[in-house]
Amino acid sequence: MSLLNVENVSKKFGQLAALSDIHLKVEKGEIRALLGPNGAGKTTLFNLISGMFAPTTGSIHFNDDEITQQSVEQRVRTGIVRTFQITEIFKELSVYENLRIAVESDMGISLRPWLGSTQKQAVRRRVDELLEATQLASKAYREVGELAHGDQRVVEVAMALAMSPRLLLLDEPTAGMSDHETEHMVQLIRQLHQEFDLTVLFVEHDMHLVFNLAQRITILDNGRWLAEGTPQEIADDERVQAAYLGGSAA
Amino acid sequence: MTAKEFESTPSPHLTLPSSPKQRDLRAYLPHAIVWVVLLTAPLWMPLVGGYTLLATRVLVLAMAAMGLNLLLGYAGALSFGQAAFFGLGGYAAGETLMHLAPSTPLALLIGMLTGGVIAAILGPIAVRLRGIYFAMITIAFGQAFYFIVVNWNSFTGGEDGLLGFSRQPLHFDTMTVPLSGINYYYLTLFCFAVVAALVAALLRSPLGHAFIAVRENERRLQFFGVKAGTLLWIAFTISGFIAGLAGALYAQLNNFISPAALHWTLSGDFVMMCVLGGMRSFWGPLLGAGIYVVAENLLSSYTDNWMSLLGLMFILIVLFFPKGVLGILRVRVKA
Amino acid sequence: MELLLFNVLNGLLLGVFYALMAMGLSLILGLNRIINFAHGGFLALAGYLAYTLLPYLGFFGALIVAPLLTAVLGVLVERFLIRRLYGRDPLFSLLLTFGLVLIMEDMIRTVWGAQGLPLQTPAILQSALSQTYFFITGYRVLILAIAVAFSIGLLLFLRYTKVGLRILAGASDLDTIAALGVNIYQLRAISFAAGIFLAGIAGVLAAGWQGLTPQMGDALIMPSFVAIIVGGVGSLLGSLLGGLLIGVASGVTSAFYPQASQLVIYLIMALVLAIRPRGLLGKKGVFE
Repeated sequence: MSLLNVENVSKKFGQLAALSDIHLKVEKGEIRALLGPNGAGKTTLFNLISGMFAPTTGSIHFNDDEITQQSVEQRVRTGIVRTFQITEIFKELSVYENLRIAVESDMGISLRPWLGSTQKQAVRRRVDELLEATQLASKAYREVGELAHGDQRVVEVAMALAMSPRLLLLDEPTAGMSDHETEHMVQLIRQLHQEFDLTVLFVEHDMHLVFNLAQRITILDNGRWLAEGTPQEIADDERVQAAYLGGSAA
Repeated sequence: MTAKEFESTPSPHLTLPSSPKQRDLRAYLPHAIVWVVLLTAPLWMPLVGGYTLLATRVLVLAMAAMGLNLLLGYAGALSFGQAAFFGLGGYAAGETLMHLAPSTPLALLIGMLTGGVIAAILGPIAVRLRGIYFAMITIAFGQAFYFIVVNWNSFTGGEDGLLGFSRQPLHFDTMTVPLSGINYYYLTLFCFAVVAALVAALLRSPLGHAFIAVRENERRLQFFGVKAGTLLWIAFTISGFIAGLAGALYAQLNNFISPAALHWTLSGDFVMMCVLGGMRSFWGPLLGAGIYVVAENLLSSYTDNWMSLLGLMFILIVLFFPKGVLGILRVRVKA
Repeated sequence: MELLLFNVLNGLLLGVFYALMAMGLSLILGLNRIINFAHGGFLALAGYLAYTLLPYLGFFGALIVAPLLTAVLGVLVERFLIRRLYGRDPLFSLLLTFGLVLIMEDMIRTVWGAQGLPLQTPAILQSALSQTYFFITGYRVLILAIAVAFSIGLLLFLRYTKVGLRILAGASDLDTIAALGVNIYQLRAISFAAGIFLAGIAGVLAAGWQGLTPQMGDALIMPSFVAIIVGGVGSLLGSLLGGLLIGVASGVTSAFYPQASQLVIYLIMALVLAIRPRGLLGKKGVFE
């Protein structure tokens, strides 16, 4: 049984077919990359999986449960958490405060006007754990808006992590990052994948990163499934080379 | 991270720092100063040409502004109808004293409940809109109540206001405390302290954190499964309770209340106090109320056109000092 | 029966003012994205200017010139004050225009005094048009006629002129038309001035109907907000209809339960918000 099973999914916006007949199976513990040229439908697929809208046809199963019609909030609760292409964080708050909000909502206590000291400590402990895991502890009290772009994206990942994800959807996690920051993010994702037993599905454009990090790659082109396989298989695949990589792989 | 690194990290936050190590004396100092100043006000006010009534007035307005700031500064919602709950609380207090029982605590309680319950009822309608439209709704609701009060002559005294009630001595087991000017100041200060403590505690709670999150990035909050509408409604209701209590105190300050206490111009004044003092600061509303009352007094004694000067002040603040006094100070500290 | 008709006509007239104000406000709200609290101030100012100009220009002269002068002031206000607020938190436009109206009312009071003043309308308009319906005076018909003319004129202007279309487009997406080379600074100034001009017209007409007081704008601005909400934000036609609706509702209520005549306006607003937040003609998806 796959953790995520996207079956026969299509998405139409009016006349525009953004996605057609998509099949995608992600196994538990996998690190899967989702590639494709611009406009291939990757973000649309992400939006479908995370619940921002429903598919026109087809179904999505998570852990064998059908989630096709579930709302974003419901999916977050079952463990499907995503990050965004453009960082969505609370810019005027500190890293600590950003994570705290995420932790509090994961713990279901977002609307509590009062916390007992044991619970306060529990929150604090979880935030500290996240800070440690993502190596943000030294920047905990700095305003997120003032951090380097790379660090902001790490904060986003940390916030996603706070929601106890089973499937982590990363939408271009290294967009706009320097080489150094990208390297850091790759290591971080690998580490978190191990430490927290995550399944990761990510969209990326950086080939080097993809081939380094992904265990399997799925390629979309023009809203359709093009190819799928290990990095080596993909690199050798002629269709992919023709349509996307334009020659030999990175 | 060493203790030294912790201490040198600036913490420009709206609440007390969340790390235990940073809760040293320096963080508590501003608060201590404020309380000392407030506790001794009747002593030093006359020395600067003021009088106790003025100080009580500042506290009452500051309380209403502090309640408003939960919505305005923290949750980021443009509420321009705070005066409605303020005025209604005042009328409720007056009516209580006149018709229910000659008890000041009861009047305060009923005033508070009136403000809060009405806010709770109107809340779900108001929070369906955001931004300028939310502001328009709150203004419109405020005016609706203004008209009710003005027209319901028999009950409210109409345009002329409500007369015929006065604050009553407090009866305890062992003694009776008449509410002279100074005593009433301390009663008001007590209420203010309770409200301030509750608001401070609220801001440190998950709910308080969520308020700030709504302001910063409403969409993000959706992903956390928190409904912005619910949050805003809670903030709206709490601010209604606080305004109602402030209004009840206000009515008994002069033993008089008039429709002016519900007028949108007063709502605007409350917003101005928050902005002037600094919307992102806990003590901003208090400072703003203080400056406002002083300005109002000074200006009206020098010129008939004090309203123009007040309006000019609004404009200057919006254009040049939008962060308010405390906002400017904080920037300096950070740099 | 006559009483009801009397009240309905009164309500209709009132609604006309609400509609004129609301359309002007809506124009500014749509393109400039500013809540112009000072709209009532401009209305009053135009009325008072008409009062001063009347001896020299006559009623109709004042009716044209006073709103124009007020619109010029509007252009100056937009250029030097409002322009600095674009893109900022809407809170600041509320506060600034609020400060502005305080100044305007105070200045009016200083220059013309706090007492009410009458605005003389032409004698021919003052007589009733019929014996039984004595309240249908020529002046009131004039108010209706002018309001209708301006409403239609505005809607035509927006639909069929280049500038008008740009304003409509800009209300949806200012960045796009700016990218297309439209001078949005000019556009915003025009939009603001047009809105103020409408307020000015309303001011002079209102002065002729109910006289002048420094706070005359106050009584009209709130219902105008309601008119926009009821009619639907983003729709000028909605603002027009909303204004007329609440005016008539207010008038009808006057016939039966006078004390509630203002209140009914807000009750309608609450009802609309509870049932259909986007208003009668509002665009879906903005708030729901």
